[in-house]
Amino acid sequence: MSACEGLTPRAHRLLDRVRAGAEAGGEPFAFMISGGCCGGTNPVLCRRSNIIDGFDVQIGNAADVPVYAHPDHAQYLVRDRFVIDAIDDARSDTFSLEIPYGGRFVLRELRDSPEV
Amino acid sequence: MPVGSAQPARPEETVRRYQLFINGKFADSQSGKTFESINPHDRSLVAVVAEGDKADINAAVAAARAAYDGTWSSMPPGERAKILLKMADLIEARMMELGRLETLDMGGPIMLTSGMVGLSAEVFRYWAGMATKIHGLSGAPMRPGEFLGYTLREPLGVVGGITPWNGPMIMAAWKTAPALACGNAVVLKPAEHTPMTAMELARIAAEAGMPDGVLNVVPGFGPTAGAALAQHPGVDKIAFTGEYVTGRLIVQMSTTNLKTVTLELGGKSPHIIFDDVDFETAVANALFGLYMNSGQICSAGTRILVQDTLYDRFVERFVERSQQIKIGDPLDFSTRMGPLVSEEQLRKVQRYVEIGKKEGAKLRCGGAQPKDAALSKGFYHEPTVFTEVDNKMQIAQEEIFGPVASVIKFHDEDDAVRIGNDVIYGLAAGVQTKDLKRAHRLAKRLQAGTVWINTWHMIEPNSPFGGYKLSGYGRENGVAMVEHLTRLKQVWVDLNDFTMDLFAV
Repeated sequence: MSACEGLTPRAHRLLDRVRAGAEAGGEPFAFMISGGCCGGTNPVLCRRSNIIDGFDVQIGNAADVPVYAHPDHAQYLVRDRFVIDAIDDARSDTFSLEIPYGGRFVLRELRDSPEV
Repeated sequence: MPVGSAQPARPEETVRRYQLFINGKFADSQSGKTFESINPHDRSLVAVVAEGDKADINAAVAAARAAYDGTWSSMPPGERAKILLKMADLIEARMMELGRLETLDMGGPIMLTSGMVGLSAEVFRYWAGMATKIHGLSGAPMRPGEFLGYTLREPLGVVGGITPWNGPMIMAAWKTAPALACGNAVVLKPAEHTPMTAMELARIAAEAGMPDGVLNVVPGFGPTAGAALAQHPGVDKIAFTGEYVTGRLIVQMSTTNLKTVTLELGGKSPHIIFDDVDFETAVANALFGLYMNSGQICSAGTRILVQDTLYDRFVERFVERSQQIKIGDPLDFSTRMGPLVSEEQLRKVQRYVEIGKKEGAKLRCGGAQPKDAALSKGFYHEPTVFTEVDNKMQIAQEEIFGPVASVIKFHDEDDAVRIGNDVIYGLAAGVQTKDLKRAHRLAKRLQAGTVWINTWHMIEPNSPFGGYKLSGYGRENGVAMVEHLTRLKQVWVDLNDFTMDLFAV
C-alpha cells in the first residue's frame, strides 16, 4: 500500500540540488521515514544502500526515490497519505542528506499539499 | 521566514557569535561557513555559529587523540576530578545566564532551562566523584597460588557525542562528563538548533583548566559533521540521542572501525492512572509528565491511560487544567509553556492534530496556535487533548514531540499492561496508584527503561536512563554507564616457580 504519493515541486527542487552536489556521487537515494525524539516523523534522505532489503518496507515513492519505513512503523504510516515537502530552515537533528543544501524535507498531508 | 533574514528583536540583545572549539582554541570552521540560531519566540536572530564539517571533525578527533595519549588518560583520576568539579562550580555560578541562552535557542521556559543547567552541574559533580572509583578487579583464581588474574578497566580513547536540541545543556553534560571522568577525550557535536550552551561549556572547560584537546566542541550539520564523527576510524564510541533512522545510520557508519554505539531514541510513554489515586495529584502528575518543555521530551507521558471507572472525571479536569496553562514568552519566569523549537516542529504537531481528527479521536481542547497577538511570530501551539483515542491510532503510536495528549481508556491491570506495551518504543512508563503491590507488579511488566511510580521525569546523575525496543540501547548516567565508556583488559601472571615447557624435546 502506498502512503507517500510524491514530492512537492519545492521538494523536487531541493532533491535536484542534492543530486547536483559533489557529495552525491551518483549512488541512488532512498527516503526512510523516521520516528521519535527531536528529528522524528520526518523523511530522512539516505543512500539506497542504507535500506535493509527484505526488512524495511517500501511505502511509496517520491518522484523516482523509493520511500521506506521500519516494518513496525510502516503499519501505521500506510494508513495515511502524504507527500514529501521541503522547508527553508535546514537545521535538523538528523543525518538527512539534503541539509547542507539549504533546506529540509518534511511530511505533509496530501490534501494540504501546496503547489509551490 | 527563511533562516538568514532574521534580525535581533530586542534592542538589549546582541547577536552572539560562536566559533568551533578544537584543541583548546576557538576558531572559525575551515570552510568559513556559519549557520544561525533563531529565537523560537519571535524568529529573531540570536547567534551566528561556525559550521563545522568533515575537515573540522578530523582536526577535532586528531586533537582529542593527541590529548588522550598525551595527558588525559595518564592523569591521576583525582586531578581529572578536580577539573570536573571546577566545571560544575562554574556551570552553577552561571546558571541563570546559561538558562537564558538555552531559552533563546530552544524556547523552553526559563524556569525549566535554568533548572536543567543546575542539574547539569550536578552531573559534572557526580562524575567527578566517579573518576576516582573506576578500577578493575582481582579475579578469584581457579588455581590459587599458581596464577594471578586481574582486570584493568581502561578508557576507550576518543568518544563522540551527538546531542539533540530539546535539552542542550543537560544532554551536553550527559555526553561529556561521564566520558571525561572515565579518562576519555571527547568530541561533541551539539544540535544545530541549540549550539549556544555547548559552546559555553567549552569556555567553562577551558576556564576550569581542561588540557587542550580533551574536550572539543564542533557544531555543524548531521550529514556532514555528525556523519564524519560517526564514520571516523579514530573515534572509539558514539553516544547519540535523537531519532530512529539516524540512530540506525550511525550504527551502519560505526562499522568502519567497529566502534561501540549507545542510542537514546524516541518514546511514546504510557502514563497509567488507576482509579484509586489521589485525584488532583494524578492530574497534576499527568500535566507535568506531558507538558514540560511543550512536550518536547522523549520520555514525556504522551499516552495517558486512564481506568474506565475514572476516565470521564479525569478527562474533564485534565482538559480544564490544560486550558489554564500559562503560555507566553519563555524568558518570563511565570511562563509554564513556551514555543516549540522550530517551524518544522510546529508543522509536525499541526499535522498530527489533523491526523488525530481524521482518525476519529475527539479533540477536547487546543489544536491550534494561541490567539495572543504577542505570540503570533513564534512557534507556539496550545496544549492539546485528544480523548476516545484507540491505541492503534497514529496519534497513539507515533511520537508527536509536542503538547498533545492521547487519552486512552483501560479496564484493568492486564489491559493497562497490554496497551502500555503495545508500541514500538520503550523509553519510559509510569503508574499512578495507591496499591503498592500493583505498582511494583507493573514496574516489572512494563517494557520501558524507566518506570515512574506516582511521579514523572525523575532523572538523576546516578539513575541509568535508556530504552527498550526502538528507543535504543545502552544506558546513560549511573555506575552502569562506566561499562559503556571503558573496556576491560585481563592480565595474567604466572606465579609458578617452574617452567611449563610443552614443546621440550
